Amino acid sequence: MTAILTLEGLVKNFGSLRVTDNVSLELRSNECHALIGPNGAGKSTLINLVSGSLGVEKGKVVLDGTDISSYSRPQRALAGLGRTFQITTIIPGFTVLENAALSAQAKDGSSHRFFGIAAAEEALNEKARRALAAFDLGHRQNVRAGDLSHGEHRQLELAMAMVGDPKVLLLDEPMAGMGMGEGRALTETLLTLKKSTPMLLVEHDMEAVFKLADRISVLASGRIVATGTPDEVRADEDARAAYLGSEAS
Amino acid sequence: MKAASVSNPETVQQSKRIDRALLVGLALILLLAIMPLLTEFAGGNYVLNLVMKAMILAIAAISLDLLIGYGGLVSFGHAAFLGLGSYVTGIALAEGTMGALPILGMVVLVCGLFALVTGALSLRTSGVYFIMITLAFGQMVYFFLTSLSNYGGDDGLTLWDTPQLFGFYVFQNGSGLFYSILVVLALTWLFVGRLAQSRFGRVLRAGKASPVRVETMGFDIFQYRLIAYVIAGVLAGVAGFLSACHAEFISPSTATWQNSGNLIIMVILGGMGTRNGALLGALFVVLIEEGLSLITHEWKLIFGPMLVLIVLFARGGLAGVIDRLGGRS
Amino acid sequence: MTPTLFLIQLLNGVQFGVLLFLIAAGLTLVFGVMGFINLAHGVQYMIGAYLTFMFYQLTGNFFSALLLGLITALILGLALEALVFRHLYDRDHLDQVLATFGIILFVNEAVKVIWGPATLTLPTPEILSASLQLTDNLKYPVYRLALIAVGAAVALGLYLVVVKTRVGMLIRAGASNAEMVSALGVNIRRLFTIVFGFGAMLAGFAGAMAAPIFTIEPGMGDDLLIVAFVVIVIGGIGSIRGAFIAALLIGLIDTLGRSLATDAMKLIFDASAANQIGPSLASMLIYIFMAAVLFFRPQGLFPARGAA
Repeated sequence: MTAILTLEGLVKNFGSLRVTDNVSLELRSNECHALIGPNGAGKSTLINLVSGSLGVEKGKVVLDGTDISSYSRPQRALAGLGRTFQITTIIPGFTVLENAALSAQAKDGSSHRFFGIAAAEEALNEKARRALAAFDLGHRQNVRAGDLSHGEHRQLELAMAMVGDPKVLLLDEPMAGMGMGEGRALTETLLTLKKSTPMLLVEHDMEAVFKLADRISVLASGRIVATGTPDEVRADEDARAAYLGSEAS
Repeated sequence: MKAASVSNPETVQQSKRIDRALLVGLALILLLAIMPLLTEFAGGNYVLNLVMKAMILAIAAISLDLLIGYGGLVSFGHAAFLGLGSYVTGIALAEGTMGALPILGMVVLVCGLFALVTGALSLRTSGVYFIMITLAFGQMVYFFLTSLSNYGGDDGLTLWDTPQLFGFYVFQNGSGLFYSILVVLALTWLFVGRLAQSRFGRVLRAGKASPVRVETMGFDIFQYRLIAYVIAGVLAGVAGFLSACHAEFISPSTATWQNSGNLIIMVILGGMGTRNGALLGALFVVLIEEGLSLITHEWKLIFGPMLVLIVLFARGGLAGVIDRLGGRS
Repeated sequence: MTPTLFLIQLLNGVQFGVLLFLIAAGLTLVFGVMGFINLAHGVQYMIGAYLTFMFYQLTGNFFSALLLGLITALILGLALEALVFRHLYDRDHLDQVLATFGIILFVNEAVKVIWGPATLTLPTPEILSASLQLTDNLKYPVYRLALIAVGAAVALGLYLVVVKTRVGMLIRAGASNAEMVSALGVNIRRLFTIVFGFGAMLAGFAGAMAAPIFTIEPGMGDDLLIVAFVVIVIGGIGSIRGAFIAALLIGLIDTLGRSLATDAMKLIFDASAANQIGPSLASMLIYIFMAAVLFFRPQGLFPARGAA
């Protein structure tokens, strides 16, 4: 298996606090790699370092053979990083269709076009509709995105990420705030999705993690303390100590 | 597909609303176009001058709405571009450049460059800091203009000439100027309205709601905002050119922060980010100021509290009110 | 420029800075704690000057006029808060800008109606009317020195209140995280009212103290308000310490800039060009300074919010 995304010795400090401490990690093509760890272990920071929301201080982020460490957030998105957020971010005033169409627009030539009506570009709308249908939002396309339910927000965010046909998908706690039923449904969706798109998953819901992940890395105090298949990690003493120990306190 | 048939009525309703706004706007512009005829019967030149002033401010207000309404960028220094545009015009005329096209070219260049530089600096900040830094740049322009002692300093400068277009004095006060202003206004209204719906405008509007999301999609929002800032600055500069022609006078007071505040008032009162909001707002503010000052010399005693009451009780602006009246069916 | 002149300008700069601080203190707290843009803050400054003028005419004594003026300014500030501002805290900045702009229009016009459009002057109080011999050939008005002393005292007092007292702790907490403070069960509305009333009074105090130096006229607070905004943005919104340092910086830059810019330009340009550029550069200096500060530190020099 070749690696599609490689993190090499990433370091990030907030003031005197080292939140990411020499993290190296490989995401293989066709795998779902989960990052778990107690609160404050630096999981979200790591995702933000990869997506470009935070600047890398030391180390490298390599996507499909290209070093993207110095790329800005939009550049990384165009290079093939799709992501969702812990707190769903969509454009609430746009319709569901327009949200997805805007995402399609990002990868479709220049957006410095000032006169044609964007909403009337059927090529973009068609792409958007396909993605929405894949995430079961076809019937909601003309609803204001702000009026969607929480679960639907998540689906829309995924659809928007997938419209751009990303090489890698970064998922920051997709299950957060979901009800049991919604969570299960989303897990099923992600199971299908992972067949086509490698993903780096940060998640607290262990049921979902063990169902989805091919490999798991355990993060504690900014370091990776264990990496392996779900069974290996379950059996690993260090991982249990780091995770369960801190969780209990 | 079943899904599509369910959602179709909503799409239709939405496009109907856009059409109605378009019709209201066109009707307004038509109404403005026959103003010279109407004022023959009542009001005369006094009213016509007032309408011209309102139209010029409407151009500036529409350009500001591109920033505030669509981009979420509350610029508190937009009057600076009005001031710059009028001063470039006035200085060019005073120095003997008479052609409207070269003058307009200089206006576009100066305002565009100033917007590019100050925009690139201002857009590094956001929220309240953006409001304040644009205000600071506005003040810089104001004080710069007051210091131009060769061109009147504090007192401003009377212009003895108006620009010519191919040898014609189309910008001389009268119907030529009136229709020039009207044409620029109509084009600005059309352009900004379409711009908002274009690919570019869609990114800009999305960036107002969530810059993070827009960047995650792959758009460099800074770039889009900067371009919008330059476009808005240039449009306001052209309004400044027209204002110099209309007043036959240039003055630093055009660029005061109070004037920037006035433009913001127009945008908000009209209803920001709507097809006709800024246009309605500008016409409304100029007319209400004039109307109130006919009642009392101290019209601000009424206008001030009126603003407060509007903020407290009427949200969504005039465009919202008209929309609600026009058919909530 | 002679050393003497320079010293005078230095003192004038400090004095202007102190004045700015008195205005900026309330502004930065109201802004920082409530997230409220109060354009009408400059109006409080003007009201302070006019009220002191009015009470001086009634009592004939500067100090009792000052006291009465302050009390009335406080009452007016609280009334405005209860009538208008209180309803705007949850609104976005644009609504706040619009409504407080309306208040400026109203109060400026009202002042014109009540006291007339002409400029008024208030005599310097007798006790402080002398000049102090600072060096052999430098005399400086005692009143201005007193202004500096009083301003510094107020700054120190304010600093102690904000740093040492419970109310001050809440204010600081509110400036960095308002939700947290209300989550603690503190009556945030009452805190707002206190901060607002206090800020209004300080601005009024600045107006009263400035009255014998500058002229009293309608709209006198408008341009000063903008400078006060420059101060709090440079200092970092919500930071008293930042406001104080930035106020002194701005006071000095503006005052010294005005007297030095032309001379400085003469080093580069010929005299006539320098006479053109100098004054224009001088009046733009503080705005250039602000743009530069924001370029390097977009949150100001001492950000109170979001210190990562």
